[in-house]
Amino acid sequence: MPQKLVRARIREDRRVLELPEPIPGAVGGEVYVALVGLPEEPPTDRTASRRRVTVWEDMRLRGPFPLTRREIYEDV
Amino acid sequence: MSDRALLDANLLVYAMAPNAPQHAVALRVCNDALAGSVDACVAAQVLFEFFATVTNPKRVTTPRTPAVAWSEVEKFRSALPVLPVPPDVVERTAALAQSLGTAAQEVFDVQLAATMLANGVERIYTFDHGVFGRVPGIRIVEP
Repeated sequence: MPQKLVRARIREDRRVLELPEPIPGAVGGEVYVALVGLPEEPPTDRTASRRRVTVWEDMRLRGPFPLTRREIYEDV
Repeated sequence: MSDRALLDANLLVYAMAPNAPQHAVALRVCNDALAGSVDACVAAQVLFEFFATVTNPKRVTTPRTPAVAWSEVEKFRSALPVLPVPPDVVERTAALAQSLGTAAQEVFDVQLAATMLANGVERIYTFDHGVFGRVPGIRIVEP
């Protein structure tokens, strides 16, 4: 089965990328994750990226939550 | 009428901002929509509101450059139907706004609701229940 070893950054919530379970231990470090069961010919990055939202890890939304149009149009 | 649902601007913003409490569910819905497994659409207004938010330093800590934000707008525009603005959107919005008694920035919620109803779209993915919860014929789908 095809495998690929990738380096992933641990976020503050102890999750790595989109893995479903928190990773116990270090926060803010890096781990290597083996991706298994990859298709023989995975889609190109360009194709894949068009079908997925870009998560901007460095962008923090200021409150309040939920965001309403009162805030969006506040400065208009 | 169809089961197609409109993605509201807050959903798009939350999907890309990992600190939002609603990030995980918003990300799932948006990715499902882009992949075609959820019957979803957007409106030009929604895309512009998304752009306005993520490029505004008052709304986000590290605003995106316009080029980056437009690139993400293009992703949604090219993957999902964009509801056309009905030619009588002013009349529709005014009538609906007056019946609901809305004012100030709420008129933009009403304009979006009027655009949805004119296009036969009755469902909206949103975390903002304020106005949409009061519009007859609109159902909120909270992910």
